[in-house]
Amino acid sequence: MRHLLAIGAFLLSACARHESHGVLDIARNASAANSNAGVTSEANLVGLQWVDTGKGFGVAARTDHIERYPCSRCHDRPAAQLKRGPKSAHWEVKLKHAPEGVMSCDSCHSLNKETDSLHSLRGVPIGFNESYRLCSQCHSRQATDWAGGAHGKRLGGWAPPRVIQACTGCHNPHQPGFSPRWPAAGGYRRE
Amino acid sequence: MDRRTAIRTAGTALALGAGLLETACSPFASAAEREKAKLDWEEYFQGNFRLMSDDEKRATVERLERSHQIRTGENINVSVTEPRKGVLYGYAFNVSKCRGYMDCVRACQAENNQDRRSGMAYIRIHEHENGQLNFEHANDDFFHEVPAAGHFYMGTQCFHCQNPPCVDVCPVKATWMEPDGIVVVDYNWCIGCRYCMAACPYDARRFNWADPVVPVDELNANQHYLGNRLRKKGVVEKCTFCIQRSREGRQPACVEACPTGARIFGNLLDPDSEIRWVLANKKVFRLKEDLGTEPKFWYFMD
Repeated sequence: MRHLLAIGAFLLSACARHESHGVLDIARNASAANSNAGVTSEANLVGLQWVDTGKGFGVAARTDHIERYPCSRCHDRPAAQLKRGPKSAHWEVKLKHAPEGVMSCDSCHSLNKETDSLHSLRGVPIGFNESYRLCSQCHSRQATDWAGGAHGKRLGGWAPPRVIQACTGCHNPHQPGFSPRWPAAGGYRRE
Repeated sequence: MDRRTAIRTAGTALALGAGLLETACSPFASAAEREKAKLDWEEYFQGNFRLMSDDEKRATVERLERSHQIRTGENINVSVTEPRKGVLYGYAFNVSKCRGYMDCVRACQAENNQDRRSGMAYIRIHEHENGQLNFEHANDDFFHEVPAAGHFYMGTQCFHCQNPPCVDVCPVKATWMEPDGIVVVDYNWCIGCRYCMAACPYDARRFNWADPVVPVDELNANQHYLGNRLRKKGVVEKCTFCIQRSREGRQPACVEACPTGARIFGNLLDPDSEIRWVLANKKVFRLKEDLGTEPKFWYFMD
């Protein structure tokens, strides 16, 4: 009996000494050199137009998807001088972004010059493909998460190159919130 | 095993085999039926996937493809793409972003050829009341406009534990963890004892109580042997991180389908991956961490 106890105690101590390594340790100890084993997302990105941000990742191009781009086809002079007057176009745009009275068309759009681009708070032109530079002026926390990978949506595959949706790929900039809707599935167990 | 049991087992196997063999050799059966019986015979005696040589693997999937073709007239492509060195898959779920839209569930079912009749789903979305995190009081069967006021949503599925209790209990070694961290099932080797379902602390595994039904026009023909190939009655299945997609560099179907970007997937061994950024920069947690199962599935909030 005493022998058994001794053996038991030895086994217990052996177990305690053998510390299991968590998966985070495995991840942290991985060397950068062998990562991804040459897997790429190139094949999954075929057909997608994207632009490099210069920050180590790319974003889906936007301008080709804007119906009436370039804007200068109509906006060839300051908005006030356009023949048809305010709201004769873009009447379908409803602005629901930030509390009322904060935003207007020209908060982001350039109505009088360089109408083919957006502009920053200080009036520096920002292309439609770089909307993130505009949005991040206020939404800096989201921008940090987005650039890192905790916010937004990956395109192609998980492997490099990293290409993600820009802000306007998911959010309608005029109404950036997501609407409530019915789920795509569910209620299975109710039979 | 005592002699009596051995004889009985051998007898049963013989009787079953004789039936198949009779069809296979019968001069009256059509050529197609004979081939079908021959394939069934070979499938019945196929070995454990992990013990197969590359040639045997190839023969096995060719048999599966041909068998499906004879039965349905449709072609499928069953891959046996191997895990890659330097890749360990991990997943993160943004609790702040999930709104219960269930697009992930729908995409998962379509991708993974799950039984439509029972509405099998690998993913559960749990609707929690704000201020609580108790799965016993959560609703994983909601069907109303979402997000419901005063509620938040949290998805669960197989967490691909690095220390998976389901694997330990399998009496026939029909389930195991691949070197890239994906916990898989050999559906041909599974005996349906459901020990793994009892051992899983996360309700991640599903059982086929009946022959799964997938309409021909909804079948995903792009399959993997350890992934979304068609299952049979009486076997266990589960999320495989869409092995047929992930091993080709693609995202799992749930990640791709999520409209809010709540789902993040990637290589834990790549220090530049999004998943590693989340682990390093967000406050992450896992479910039942105290069990030591080491799930490769983290939750975080904005």
